[in-house]
Amino acid sequence: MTDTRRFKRVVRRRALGVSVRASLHALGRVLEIVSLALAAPALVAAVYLESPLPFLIPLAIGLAVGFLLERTNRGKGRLGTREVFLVIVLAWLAAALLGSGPYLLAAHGLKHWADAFMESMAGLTTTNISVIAEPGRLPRSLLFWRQFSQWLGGLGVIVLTLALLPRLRVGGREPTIAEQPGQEVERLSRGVKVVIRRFGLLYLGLTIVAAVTFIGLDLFDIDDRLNVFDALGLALSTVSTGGFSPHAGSLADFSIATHWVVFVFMALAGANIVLLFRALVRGEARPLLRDSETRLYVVFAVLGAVGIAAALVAGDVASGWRSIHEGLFQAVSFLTTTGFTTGNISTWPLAATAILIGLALIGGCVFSLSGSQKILRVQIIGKLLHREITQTVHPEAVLHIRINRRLVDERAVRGIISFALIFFGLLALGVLVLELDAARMNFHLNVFPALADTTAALSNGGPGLGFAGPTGSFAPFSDVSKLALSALMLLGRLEIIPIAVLFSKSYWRP
Amino acid sequence: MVGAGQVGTTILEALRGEHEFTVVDRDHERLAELVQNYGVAVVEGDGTSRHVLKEGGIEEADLFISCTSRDEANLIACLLTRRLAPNAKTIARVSNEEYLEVWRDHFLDVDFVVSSELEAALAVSRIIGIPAARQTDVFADGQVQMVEFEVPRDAKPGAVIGRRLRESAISYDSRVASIIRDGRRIVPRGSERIEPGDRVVVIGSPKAINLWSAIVAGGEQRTGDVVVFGGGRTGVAIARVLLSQGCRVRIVEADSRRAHRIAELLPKARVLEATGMNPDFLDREQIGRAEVAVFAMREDAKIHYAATLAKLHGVPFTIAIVHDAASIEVFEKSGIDVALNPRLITSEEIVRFAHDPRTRQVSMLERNRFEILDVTVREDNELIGKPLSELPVTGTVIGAIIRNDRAFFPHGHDRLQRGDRVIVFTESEHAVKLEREL
Repeated sequence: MTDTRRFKRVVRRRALGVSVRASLHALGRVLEIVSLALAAPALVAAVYLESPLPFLIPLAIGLAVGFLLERTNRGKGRLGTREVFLVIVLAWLAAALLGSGPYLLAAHGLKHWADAFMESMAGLTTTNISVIAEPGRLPRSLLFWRQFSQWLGGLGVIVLTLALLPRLRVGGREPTIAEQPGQEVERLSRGVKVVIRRFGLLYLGLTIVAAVTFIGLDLFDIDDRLNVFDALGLALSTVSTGGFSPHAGSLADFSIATHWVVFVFMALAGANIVLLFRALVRGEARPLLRDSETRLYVVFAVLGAVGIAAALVAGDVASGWRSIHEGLFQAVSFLTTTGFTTGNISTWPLAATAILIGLALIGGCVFSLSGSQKILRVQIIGKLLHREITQTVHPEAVLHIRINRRLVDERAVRGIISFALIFFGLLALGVLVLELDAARMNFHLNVFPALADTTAALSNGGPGLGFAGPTGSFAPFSDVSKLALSALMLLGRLEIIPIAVLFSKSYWRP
Repeated sequence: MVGAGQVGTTILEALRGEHEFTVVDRDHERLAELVQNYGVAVVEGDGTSRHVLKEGGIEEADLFISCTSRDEANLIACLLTRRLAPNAKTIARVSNEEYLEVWRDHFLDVDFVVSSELEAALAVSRIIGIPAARQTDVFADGQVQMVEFEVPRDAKPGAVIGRRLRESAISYDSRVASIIRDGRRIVPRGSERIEPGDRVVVIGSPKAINLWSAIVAGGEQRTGDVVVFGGGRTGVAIARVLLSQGCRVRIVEADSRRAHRIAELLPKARVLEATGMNPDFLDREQIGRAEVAVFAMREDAKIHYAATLAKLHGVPFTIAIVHDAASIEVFEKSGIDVALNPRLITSEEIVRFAHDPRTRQVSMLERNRFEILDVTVREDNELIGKPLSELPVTGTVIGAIIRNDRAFFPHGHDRLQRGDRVIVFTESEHAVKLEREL
């Protein structure tokens, strides 16, 4: 071999700036864990005397692939910050693919692969977008998997937002916490473990408390439509801000008492889990109560509720106590991007649904389980606009943006602006794709429902409007639209940037 | 004494009658000058060196002053002296206010610490004062304020005015020291009332004084619009004190990084990244509408130019913080309203402490009819332990007690304790007697 050829070979080998093999190794491990999670619905299948095979087959495939990936790539390359981007995206995709298996394999499941993929993606991104209008017809074990996948997605979100994204400095995360220089050096796996030990356990605890409360509602005959299976399923999709309901028509079947319990746990899931941890576990309520974002969270919820109630009264849909109940529940359900409904919002006045879409485009608190932009970003953008106006009058003034009296780093502010721009760009693009696809398939899709459906996907909220409303399903959409919506769900859940990064040249170059 | 600069020389001049000085400095020429002018003993060397201090005869010293321009050197010299001469009183001059805080929290074993920056800031706040106030003074590093208010003749009776003192809504953190009606002094017993046209002397916390000022000035909110040019340590200290008194403060600083730093430190102030020499800027920001402009830049010449420019733009009152002792005259001659030299203020403060450690600050009221003393109570005083309400009524009012470096405003049931410092209002003729009794 000549020197030139050897040189070329060595250089080509180093041409990538990302260690794909280290990423695949990590992906293998994630895949193993996700596969093992499929054992839970298999267990439920055994209890209800249904076939566990729809779960055991993907479980075996997932384990095998995961093991293979881990084995063949062991010790190849280092898992650094760059690789984490790739792992996150691949892991969510692989999990969604794996999770779609049961829908296809189960009796009375889904026939079409795109339907199954979207359903699975919606579950793992805690989005209430579904092609199943009558969940009651599904086998119990599959129904359980549908609910449980949302809970798993929520756990993934906790790891993502608390352990991974801050390290990747995505979209102006953690803008109020001074950067800790030690964090870079600290091993990734340790950060993940700490996050799971603290916040994962809190998440589990909240889920258990929610489940016990629902079971209590069942046992004391407060809600006769609720059974233990429903109680568990509701708890799984409430605490994760998922929004799948084990019954058709979302929560319309259940009693008002159940609605309020759901309301409380939705509201908790939409709050900053770090502050929640300090308040509930450590007993320091002050940071939570004094947090400006949390206060704004309450303000948005109340304003949204009042606006919706007013619109409902004006539109003669509901009045008095009923309008307030609907307004508050629906406002919090959309603000936290959970997406439960107690009535058919498709028939509501336009003003009310517009408010709901607006709330979904804001989202819950930063470090919460809800998706969308998050209140902190909206708050910082608001302060930025205020600053621009002041700066116009006083060109020399030095004006800093503060949150909770702490300075916000200018780089974080830039990150937040770009995030918001991409977010709204994607929203517009999503509406455009849905409309073009509808035109292609020769069916009429109004712009407003299209906007609602796109918002549902991008904000990981849901449901849509029209045929995709709470009583309908997303099934009528074509495959192209379904894949586009799935992509939007994934983009929204991963906070866009990690995916966008993969499409940049500089990411792949050394 | 360590340090033969401006501060040192001023102190030397004031105290050489009472003390026999040995001066330590690194600068040969300065020492030579001192020998020539005052004939004091000198040692050339670093004041932070044990050998140099010993050479200066530190073991026999009663008083040790370290007043170089280096904070750390001053503190180390004082701490060394504490060991070398345990009986000597130590005084350190610092610029960094943080050292002052640390000292107040008893982390530094030094008898007295003066911060030039804070002293300058307090001096500015004394001058700017408070609306409706005829005269103001600050004690205990700004924790206690004394103000003489003039209640307008057309003031409407309210929660305070026209009510008996014991029934009126006076802030707990303040005390009425005296009421002066038609030139007569009225001892403020609970049964007395404040009436329109009275003059009232109040001692209280800065917050309480702000409340008073709002009450007395009626609806007329304090405007207190101040522009500070120069965001160095002195500028920031001035801004901080004025902000704490509720003034609106704008800081003009040319250096970008420094400006950002100040905006970080003082979120309530508006920081402008600009120079005070730019007429367009002064116009745009309507600096001329400000009531007071304070100049705390680095160079006297620049200060002079900027202050004159501000005057031209219509600022009615200008205060210059100057560096050169000789500048004061130049400034005041050329139309700048007040020129302050932090070094002179610092040396005055040090002299006051060295002179009589018990009395720190004296302020005069009503053409010297009344005095306000800041006295540390003698250890063996028989008044210690008695409730204030049982002390003989002589027209002397204890306005504030400083205990463990925290000020509070005593009421009848409070008692004096060992080591207390008191802010007392008294008639001048009784001042000497009072000082002796305390």
